[in-house]
Amino acid sequence: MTSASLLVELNTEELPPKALKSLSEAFAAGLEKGLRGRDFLTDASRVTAFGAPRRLAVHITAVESRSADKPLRQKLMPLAVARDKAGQWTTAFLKKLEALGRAHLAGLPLGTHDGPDCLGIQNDGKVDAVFLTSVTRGSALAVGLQSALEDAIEKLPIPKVMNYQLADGSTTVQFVRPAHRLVALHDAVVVPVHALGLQAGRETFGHRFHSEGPLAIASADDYGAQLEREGKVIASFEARRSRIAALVGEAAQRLNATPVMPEALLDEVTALVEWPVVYASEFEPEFLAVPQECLVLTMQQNQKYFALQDASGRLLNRFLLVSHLEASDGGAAIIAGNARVVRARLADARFFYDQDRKRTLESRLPLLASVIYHAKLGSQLERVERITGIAVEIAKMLGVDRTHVERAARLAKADLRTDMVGEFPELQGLMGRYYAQHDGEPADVASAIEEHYRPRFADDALPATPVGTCVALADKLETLVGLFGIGEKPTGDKDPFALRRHAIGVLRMLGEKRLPLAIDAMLAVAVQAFNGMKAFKAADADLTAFLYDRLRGLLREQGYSANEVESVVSQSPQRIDDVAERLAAVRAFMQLPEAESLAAANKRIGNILRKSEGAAASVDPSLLFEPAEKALAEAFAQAAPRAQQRFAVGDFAGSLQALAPLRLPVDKFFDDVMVNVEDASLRANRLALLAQLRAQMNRVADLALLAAG
Amino acid sequence: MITFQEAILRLQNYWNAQGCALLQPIDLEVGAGTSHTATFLRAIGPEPWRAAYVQPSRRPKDARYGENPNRLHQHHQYQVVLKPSPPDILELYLGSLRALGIDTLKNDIRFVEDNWENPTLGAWGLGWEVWMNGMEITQFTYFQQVGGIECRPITGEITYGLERLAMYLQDIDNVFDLVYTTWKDRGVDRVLRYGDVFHQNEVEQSRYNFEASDAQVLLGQFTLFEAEAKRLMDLQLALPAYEMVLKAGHTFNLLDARGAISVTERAGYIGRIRNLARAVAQSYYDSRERLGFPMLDEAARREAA
Repeated sequence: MTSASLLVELNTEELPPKALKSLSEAFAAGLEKGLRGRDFLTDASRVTAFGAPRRLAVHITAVESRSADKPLRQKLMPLAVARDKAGQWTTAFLKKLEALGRAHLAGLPLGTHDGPDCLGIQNDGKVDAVFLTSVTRGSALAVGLQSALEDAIEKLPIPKVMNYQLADGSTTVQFVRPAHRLVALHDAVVVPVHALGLQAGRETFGHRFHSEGPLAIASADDYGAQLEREGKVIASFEARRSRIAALVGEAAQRLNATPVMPEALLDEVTALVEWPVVYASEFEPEFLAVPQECLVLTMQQNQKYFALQDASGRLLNRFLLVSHLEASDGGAAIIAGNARVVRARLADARFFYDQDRKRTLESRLPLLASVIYHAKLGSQLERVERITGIAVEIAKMLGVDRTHVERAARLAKADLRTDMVGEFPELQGLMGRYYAQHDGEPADVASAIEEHYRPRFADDALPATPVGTCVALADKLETLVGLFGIGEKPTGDKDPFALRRHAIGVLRMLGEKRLPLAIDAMLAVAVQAFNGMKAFKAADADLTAFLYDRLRGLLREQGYSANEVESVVSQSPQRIDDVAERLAAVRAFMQLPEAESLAAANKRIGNILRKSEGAAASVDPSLLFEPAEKALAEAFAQAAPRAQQRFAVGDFAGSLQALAPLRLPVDKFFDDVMVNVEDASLRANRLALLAQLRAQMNRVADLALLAAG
Repeated sequence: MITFQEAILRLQNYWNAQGCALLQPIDLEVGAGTSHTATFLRAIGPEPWRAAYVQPSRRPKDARYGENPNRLHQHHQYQVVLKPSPPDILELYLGSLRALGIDTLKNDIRFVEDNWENPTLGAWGLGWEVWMNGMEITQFTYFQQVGGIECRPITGEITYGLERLAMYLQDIDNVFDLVYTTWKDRGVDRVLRYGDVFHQNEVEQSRYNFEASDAQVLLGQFTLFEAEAKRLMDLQLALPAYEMVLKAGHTFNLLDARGAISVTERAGYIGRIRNLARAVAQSYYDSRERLGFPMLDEAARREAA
């Protein structure tokens, strides 16, 4: 039994770039799991995944050539069943032995070994039973790897499985793309496994153009180096990615430029080349008149180029392309060819930009009538009208310029009917801003058109302008209220309309921009906009609960504990802008020496009130006669006004702090006073006192939730 | 320099050597070589098939009055289909590029994932667009389903965009400047350009597509072709029925270019054509089955049975 490195490679036609990384990782993880589960790996085994356009491979160190034999002890049957009164084996027992292929053991005295096999009698904890001790034979790596390979391939996350036929023209195989070679090497020895109709060997293919014919891999440990040296392939995804980033960085530096290098583009390019070679090419400077974002997107999306910027962040008319050829002409044909292609692409972008500017955004509004927003909620134009209505109401509530908000809301979606946005949907909003500027719209209207989509993802910036904020709120409220109103609520992990993101956007704007808007009032305004819509039925309660759930999540992410969050959110705060203060007050309160006791009391009061009925509407001082209840009423009468006054000016911490002196009277009250007494009027009065107390205590947060235990 | 027609001749020679039947274009208006019976119908069922042909392809919406250097109402595809797709099909394809004089050690040839789907034909496949120095020159597809029928065996389809390829080979930026052919006329070198052959057609067809076509007439034709396709299928005439489907498809494209179809109606029309395509695909399969799949060899026929 020897331990050595194992290498398995599937050599394929070009794999889908977006799936390459996950396929490569899953293949490695699958094989590791399969081999570990079959006892071929040790603690020292290290797994390396390889993924390149034409190959998925795994290298694992310290893989055993055989899995170890394992002692096995199995209970066959209770002695009482196995042996008859005469002390002879029963037929049932003999049959069992025969089924195990060990009939001959019946003739041997107990405890006699036949090789590793041996019968014996032991107590299984309840009764005496007959046990067979033996050994499970380990298996050869070829056997274990065969099953592990089958499992790993079976479980690959293939986005779209394809059928294809083997060389015989009739045997059908299913995989990502046709596979042509299978390499399986244990050290330098081929492991005779098979998969996808391929018999494992040591031959693979190198680079499509820089390597000719099959390449025989000498040993598992040589795989990566040999492929790089002789095959002109960097098989490791990570190594190739770093190489590309470095090459792009160096090439940019030579041009005194900074590359625009989004992670996703780097990943995609890494999945498109086996041997990265970077060339610089360029386009005519005239194209720089087109908005930069359009040019960058054209280069990235259509051509997978890295755009270049100067020190001040301005786009240059040069770009870097990642080829996979060390071209024999030094790259002349590649550079010229790409320049020609990008010219045609940018000419398209410029054409769209020029065409689009021939018509105003406003003139495109009627075109939105023919774009369906949702079968039950009408066209985009109807939606724009609703958003406009909501935005204007919000502007009134916030004291923002109504005419600009109305204008911005009306034009917010008009760019959906421009050629540029038709070609690049990601530019929605941004193109609206450019075109609005061109149309001579006011600056804040133009900005608002772009900003109204924000926040577009977690951590995205919020709208910067008040006008943009009103439209962004209106856009999201319209979406939430409308889709909830026709029953399109998110379920489980299905959220096709990204309603969670919309809700979080609303909450972030209210909270971070400290907007003095009440939830109910906002929803009422939005519901109003759907007046007369047949399929629509307001679902305020569901939507409010949905908003509070998102609020819980947001606050937890900000580091508040579940109890802190719940103490505030359970009070269904109408205003989100002061939630942060409430939480700060809760934290400050919890630092007070009186906090624990007051929280416990609060919880106790809550329990009493929940179980009892008939609290009086107000406290009648003439019915207070126990000293402790008199003292509490008195202390409350002193503390309450101050607490209310602090609350009224938004000093939540001060408001809670004002209640601290109640701790002793409250504790004394519970020590001395019985609430649920026979006398109904006394009981009602005491309940009223407690209710009053609790209401005051819980104006900021439900303190009961902060009680220990 | 390779003229436009020499490029076609080289492809013809190359694929002739690979055992393809060199067919002629289908004599109906289609948007792509895929619509030719030699691809769409032959991809269905178990019988082997190898063919190559040029297909003039009409895309009414892409018409630009002959004013755009890259967009045409009618372009030309060179289409190759190999069924079952041989394991070395990509190498065969690269061989065809070399036959066109393309040096694969100077030009960056890449297979970039591009899965093909044609909802109106109920067809989809997996494959790549082939990039040469960043330009798409070929669409490569392993058909998986055609007319709603699972393909077995799989057809490999190679579709070259002839104008693009030729523009590259001739280093020309405007399609109308492509050299179609050259000759000597009484000792003088003469050049026939692509524009000489097709420009007037581009102008007039653009006017027809966008201005002169009669939506009412087209709508009537669409309904008529649809009804005929159904009637012919009932008569077990798969091939004539298929032609009616193609005519209905082209009529839809004309209506679409004219802007006569609203966004909501669009999905409805596409659904109607898809239903026809599915029905006709099944009808064709049944007709081959009735004939006992005559192109299968004995062993394969036993296996298919």
